[in-house]
Amino acid sequence: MSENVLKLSSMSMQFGGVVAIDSLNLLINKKEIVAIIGPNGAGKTTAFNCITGIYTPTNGVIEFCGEKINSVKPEYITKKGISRTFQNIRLFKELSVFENVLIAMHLRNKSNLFFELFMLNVIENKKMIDEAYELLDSQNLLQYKDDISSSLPYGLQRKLEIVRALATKPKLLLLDEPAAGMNPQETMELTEYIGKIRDKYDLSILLIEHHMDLVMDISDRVYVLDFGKLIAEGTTKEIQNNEKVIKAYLGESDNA
Amino acid sequence: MNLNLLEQAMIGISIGGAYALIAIGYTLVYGILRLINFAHGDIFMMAGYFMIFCASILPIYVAIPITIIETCILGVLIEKVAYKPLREAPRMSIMISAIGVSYLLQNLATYLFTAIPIQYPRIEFLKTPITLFGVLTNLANIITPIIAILLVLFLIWILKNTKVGLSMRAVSRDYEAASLMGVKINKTISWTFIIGSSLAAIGSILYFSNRSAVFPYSGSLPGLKCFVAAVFGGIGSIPGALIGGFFIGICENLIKSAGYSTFSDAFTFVVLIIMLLFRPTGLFGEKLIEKV
Repeated sequence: MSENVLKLSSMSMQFGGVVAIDSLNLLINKKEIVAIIGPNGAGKTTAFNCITGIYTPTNGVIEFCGEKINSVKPEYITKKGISRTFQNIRLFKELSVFENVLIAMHLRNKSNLFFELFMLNVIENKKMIDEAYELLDSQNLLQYKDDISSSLPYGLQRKLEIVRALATKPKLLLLDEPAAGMNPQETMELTEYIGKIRDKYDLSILLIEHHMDLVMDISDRVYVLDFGKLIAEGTTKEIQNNEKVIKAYLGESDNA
Repeated sequence: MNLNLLEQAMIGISIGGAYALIAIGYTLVYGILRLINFAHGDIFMMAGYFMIFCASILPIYVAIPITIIETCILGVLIEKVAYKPLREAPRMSIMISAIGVSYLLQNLATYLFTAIPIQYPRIEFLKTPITLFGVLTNLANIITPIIAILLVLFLIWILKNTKVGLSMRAVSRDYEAASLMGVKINKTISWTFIIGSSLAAIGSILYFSNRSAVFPYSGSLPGLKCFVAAVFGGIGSIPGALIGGFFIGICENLIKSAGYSTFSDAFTFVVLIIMLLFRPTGLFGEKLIEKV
């Protein structure tokens, strides 16, 4: 019996008169990889922003592990166990690679300024730093730990963003176009990596992606959005043969 | 004549140290909220009053920490009441709010404590006469710049090595991404105001101990000068604020010693204009890449 991690019930998001998402229903089960696909402007990233608390949806309910999280602030949603990456990389640019990860680790660390001034949390800190190293090492980023994060090559910055998201110890990881700008080789590695972290950390993963190979390779289920509306959902097979999806992507032919 | 110059330079360095401590308050808040906290000079003035009232009923060594704590509470309170509700508003609104708080504090002080200058308590310890390089001066003048530099080093250590410091740097870069990585934004901003206000309180004690009295507007001109110091050093940069503070303090006093006292305040603002014309990012300022 699979339990659901995230459940959106007829969630809508309106900006003034623009309906970015029109009553979206979405379900993610434990350890499942779910993809949201759709043409540009379909409302995919808006959905992410609603789930992570940047926007409060105009209508509907977002439930995370059975708990309603509609108007919880982003930092508390992250604490509950949802973490994400960004479509355009948003690392803390002037900070070192290690510090980027450390910030995310701090969430689960109870230390405060008083403790730190008097070095009362040495053991806990040591543990945290070791974990951060381990995470960096798992992505072969350890050698860059003292580099300024913006000096890393593009592909590594993407990797670092995932590592940073993992450092908050999430139950649900949202990946916003993780393979954007990557070549086929890198995309393949990423696909493998996503599968690996799912198993290693017992994660559920929701991803937005335009690389269809990646989506079809790793997704258990796919949701297709177009103009804010859900036009199809199902396994990768079902989606590939769905007429509505083909229409949304390729357009309608006159003699169809 | 030469001795006079040295004496003025020493006073300049001392005032510069106090300026630097206040300028850091501007720079820190700007770094996090992108807000010029125009009320900061008046927080400095209020710290002067807090010290007067604390010292009148308590021994000086108790009064100093209590003054610092009171100033922190005031700073955080201002942020919660006047800036926090405007977090999502355009930046101009929050800046107008800051100007409003500045006038509120000045008028509140006038209402509560009257506009008549009130004598600042004499801190004997800081008045200890000392002769350095043949110039007779007092301990306050000597230790102000030293305290300023030590506090800046301490602050840099905090920013580099503590959870709060790391959070502050993350928030100043991208506050939305920071919140999504679990950084508590409100707590981080409160800490920023606590640090800024406590430095202003220390600056205030050192500044006023060499002056006789506090009045409701005694924060406005030093506040503006420290703002110029922060812009000169590059707003957002802590070493910049330190150097800017010393620069303004020293130049001001050298101009006074040259006999042009009338122009010493004008000089500060000429510096501001020249800086904004030729190098708006200041000496150590970040390059102007606006976030989209």
